[in-house]
Parts: sequence; structure tokens; C-alpha cells
Amino acid sequence: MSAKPVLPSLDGDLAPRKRLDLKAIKPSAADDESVSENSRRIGSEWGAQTSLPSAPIEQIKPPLALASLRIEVPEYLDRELALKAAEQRVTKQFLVMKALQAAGYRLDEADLVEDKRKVKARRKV
Amino acid sequence: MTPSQGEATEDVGMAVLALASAKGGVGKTTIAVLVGTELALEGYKVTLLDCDLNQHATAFGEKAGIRGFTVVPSIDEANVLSALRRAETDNDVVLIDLPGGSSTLALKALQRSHFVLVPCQASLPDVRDAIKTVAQIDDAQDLSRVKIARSLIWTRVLSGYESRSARHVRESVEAKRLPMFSAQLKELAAFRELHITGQVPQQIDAKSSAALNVSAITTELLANLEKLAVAA
Repeated sequence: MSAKPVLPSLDGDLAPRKRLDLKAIKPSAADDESVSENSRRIGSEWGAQTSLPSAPIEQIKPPLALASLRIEVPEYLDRELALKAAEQRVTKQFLVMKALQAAGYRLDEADLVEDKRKVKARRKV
Repeated sequence: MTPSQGEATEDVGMAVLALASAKGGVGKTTIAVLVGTELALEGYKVTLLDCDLNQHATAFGEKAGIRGFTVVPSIDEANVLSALRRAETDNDVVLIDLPGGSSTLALKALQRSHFVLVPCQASLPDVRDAIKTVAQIDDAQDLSRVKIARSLIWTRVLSGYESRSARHVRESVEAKRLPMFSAQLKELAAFRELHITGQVPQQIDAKSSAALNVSAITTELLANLEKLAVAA
């Protein structure tokens, strides 16, 4: 006599699923911009593949190599330089360098700084 | 902010479920298709966003023709948020089938998901990538400040046999007390055949082990969604 086939499980019949109101679950309130920015941040930490544009990177110039030049000038010239510098709110060094540039010496505009102390102060803020 | 940018509105509500893992071939698409069709056959309106380059869910959707089950193909990083918004307006459940690997596409989808299911086989590479995915969900949750429920689920589990290494991996992960589905996706021929036939186990034989397996996973998923609905 052959064995009778095993009857199927009644689990599904004895535990019917009730219908859930999934409309109660609301969509995320995060806006697209924050979602993209968060994705970029997390993705950069995990090496994720992306087609999102990378965050702008501030161009950092390599520090300029500087040399010190100590010169002696007549006192009246030094006094005149000091007065002009105070009037124009620049340094005596700036006035001398500008004069050298005007005389034909090479001096790039980016390296002609009116007052380096102001630049340093801005960087600290 | 306008509703078109993702703001919750009173009349829109549904559950967004993502299938995610940095590892490929763990069963994300299989679970997405099985759960999606199971819910649709029960009367829920379901849309599946196919974000995987392989587009296997889309191919299945074209064959299946199940009422209430729609697959949206070719979802990528650029259109995932708008596709989600469109799907949110007219569905009970939106499933997101994510590709393997880490991507900002997945990270975007995770931030818009209410629940993330992380399929995982009992092998170290799978587990390693699943844990990585869970960590990314944590990061997404921290940054978006929105709770993202998640759970691992063991997949492609052989019936009646567990190797020494599989048991070791499983017990090691379970010791970490990560959220874990008690239902497991079995390794069954029916889950391969559905891509050929366009029919899911529930349509072929509702009492088959494959259909019961899908039912168990869906029941556990719905229990998790019920908690979210109650908390909302």
C-alpha cells in the first residue's frame, strides 16, 4: 500500500493577513537638495559611485617663496614713505614694490599686496 | 519648500521599501518581485522602481501582467527622486530595487525609504557588504534626521542543510543583534522560474513551499509596516 501524500500546511488559512492602511505612512519631508547633498557627503566617505557634481573646492595657491631685502634709505625718504602709506592705508613695502614694478621690474599683480597684515587678519576670522 | 520638492502632504501616504545591499546577487530583485506581486495579488497598489542596470525586474514586469503591480524601468541617480514622487501619489507601496555596489543613487533612495530590507547570504563577503549597507543607512538616517527602519534577511537558504561555515557566519551576525527577519528566502527553483514564466508561486500553487515562503516574508514585512503606520 502506497503512503498517503502529506497534507499541505494550513498556516496561511489559519492566520489570514488583515489589510493595512499604508496611507497612514507619510513620505519623507526632506527636500531634494538636502538629499543630494547628504548623498554626496556619505558617498565621499564610502567611495560610492556617483554622477553628482563634486562639491566646489577652494583653489589653494602654493605659498609664495619670499626673500628678505633690508635696505637703508635717507630719513626724509623714509618719512615721506610713511606719510604716503598712512594716507593710502598701505604699507611702505607696498609703495617701494609698486615703484619697482613701475620702473620695469617683474612683479606679478597677485604678489602686490597693499597690506599683508589685513590678509592675515581675514584668514583668522 | 514646495510639495514637489518632497514635502509630506496630508493626502499622500504610502510605504517606501528599499531592497539594498552593496553585494550583488544576494536576492534583492527576487525579493522585490516576490513581495511586490504578493502585495498586488492581495489588492495593494504597488510600484517597483527598477534601479538596477540589469533591469531584470523590468523584464519580469513585462511578462507578468499582474493587476496593481507596475515596474518603472531605467531609474537612475538623476531621476530617482522625481520617480519616487510620482509613485508616491498613487500607490500603497513603492519598492525600490537598488543595484549592488555603493552609489549615491542608493544613498538618495535610502533617505526617502521608510524601511530597508538588506538581503544577505550566509557567507562572509555577503555579510561584510550587508554590514556596510547598514552603516550607510545609519549615516543617511543621521544626516536626514529621519528614522529609516531596516532589517537583514537571510537569502538563498538551502532547505534541510546548513554548512559549518554558513552556521558560523549566521551565528556571528546574530550575536551582533542586528534587526533580522525570522523568515528566510529559501533557495527554490520556483524563484528562478518566475523570470521565465512571468508567474509567481502564488499564481501557480498557493500551497507550494515557494508560495508559503513568500507569504512568510511578506507577513513579516507587513508587521514592520504596521508598526510604522501606527507610529505615523
